Amino acid sequence: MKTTNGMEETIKKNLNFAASTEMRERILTDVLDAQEEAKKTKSASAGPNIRSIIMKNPIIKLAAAVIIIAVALSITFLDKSIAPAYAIEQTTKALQKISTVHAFCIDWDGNKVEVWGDINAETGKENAVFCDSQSGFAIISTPEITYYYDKRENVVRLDKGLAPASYVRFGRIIEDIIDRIIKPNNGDVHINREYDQQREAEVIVLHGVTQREEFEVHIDPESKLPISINTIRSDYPSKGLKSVDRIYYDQLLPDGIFKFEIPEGVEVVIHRAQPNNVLDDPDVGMIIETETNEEACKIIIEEYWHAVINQNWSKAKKLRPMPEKSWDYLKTIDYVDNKPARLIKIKEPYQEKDCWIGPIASYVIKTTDGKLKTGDMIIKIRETDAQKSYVIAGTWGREFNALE
Amino acid sequence: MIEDELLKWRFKCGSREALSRIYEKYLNNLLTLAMALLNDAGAAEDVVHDVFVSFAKSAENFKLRGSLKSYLATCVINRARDRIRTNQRQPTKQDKIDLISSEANEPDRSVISSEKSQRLNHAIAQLPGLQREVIILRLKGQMKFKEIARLQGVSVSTIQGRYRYGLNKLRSLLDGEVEK
Repeated sequence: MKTTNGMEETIKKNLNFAASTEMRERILTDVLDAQEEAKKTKSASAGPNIRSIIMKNPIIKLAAAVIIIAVALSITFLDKSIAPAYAIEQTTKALQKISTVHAFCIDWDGNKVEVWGDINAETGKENAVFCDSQSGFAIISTPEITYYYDKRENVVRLDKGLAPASYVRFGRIIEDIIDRIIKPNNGDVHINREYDQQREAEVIVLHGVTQREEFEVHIDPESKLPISINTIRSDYPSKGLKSVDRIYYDQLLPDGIFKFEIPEGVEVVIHRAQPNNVLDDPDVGMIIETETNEEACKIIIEEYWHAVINQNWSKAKKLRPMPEKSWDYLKTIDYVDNKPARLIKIKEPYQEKDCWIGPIASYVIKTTDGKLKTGDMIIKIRETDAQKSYVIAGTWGREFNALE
Repeated sequence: MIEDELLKWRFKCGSREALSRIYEKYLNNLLTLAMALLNDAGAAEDVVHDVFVSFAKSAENFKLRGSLKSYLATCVINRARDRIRTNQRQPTKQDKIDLISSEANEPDRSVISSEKSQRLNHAIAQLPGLQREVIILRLKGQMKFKEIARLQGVSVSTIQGRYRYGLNKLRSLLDGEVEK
């Protein structure tokens, strides 16, 4: 006697009907004719909405490494003749299992760039990234700290946490291309099988085209994983990567690949802090008479955020000196996307071992959309003529992080 | 279903290729649904034909957040219901079972199936219409009970009841006939 479960399995497995070739073709002809007819009678759809992507920092572009090519693209459609079906889910599933990626890339100036990434299989995001460019630039990024090493300038810049990643995750590149690039931009991609002359083998090609860009992702039919990414044409050639020529997965990470020792004789600066000549200016900052530095740090941060919320820019600039272009960026982008509405909390200041400028205090801001954002400000303490004055040197990490 | 998301988008953009791919991907599945609901090869072909033609015409206004498979399955259900209602108003006609076995090797027939599949389908045809719908949508349309409940306009527990009763009846009808 069959159990209910057995019956379910029987129906799932054995109840199948298939169309004959004649029926298949008969219906398909009508279906395609109906589509053509509908196209003729309906107005043309609106043109593609080309999204401009603001990438403020070329360093960040390099950090985004392999995935940046996809980020820089807004895609619209190319419709070729009937292509053999390829279930792109196979690639998304294969990518969900990868733990490391090792890629050899070329930037827009023709420099070779080697990238290692430790991928979080659950989220698809990078746990850590190593990136070394022939141009003399290297990035070692971990959840604790990121080092930007400019060998030509002999400078190492330090920043808190992982380098800001692109919103296209390598481990979820297909999903993110579709959800975050194609859909918002009326884009499309075409998937085809082509013969790759270099590899002397057939590959799956995911081809994206727009009026301004064109790119290809080559996928290995066996492993289902991307093996190269190439920007064919772009209106945004920049300091990012032009192509990823070879990609290897799940290779053993070289020992200490994400550990960085600052070379001797190299200037070390905090990535988002102002230099001493700016911070030592007696006309900036604030004299605060309190019993403790901790209390004074909290006061200057509180004063700063009140000035920003009230759009008292002259006061804000005095408390936090920065070049005018940095202020322009904050005022027109950061403080627009995350418009501060209320200062919620300032936590007790602490000393960070990698930040020698002064104490750091975390703040929590409520933005006008009701979200809570947090960041860490570095305070420089200056003592002159028995008076103590304080100035905001910059941030340790990003200005706004979503509070989880 | 990333591929479906891509196909939906491209279809909306007017891609002939995307429509062909959707058709190839779901034709047999929809045909199986239609056959299970109508137990008539000619009627099933008509329903599937109408669903795809209507779908092809809908590109410009096509807005679908959910599963493409569930959407097409729902279209088949609605068309099959219309068909059943129309037939009920007309004089009863002999079930023209146009099913054939793949082993029968008769190329002029439009729907191909195994003998096991035909037996199952005959048993399913004996179930009350709503039970039949629930079982087919759940097991061949891979729809959730919640979605089927919305489609039939009843609670989820009612749907689960119809599913259970339907399976029990099928089990007694088929006991010993169809091997897993």
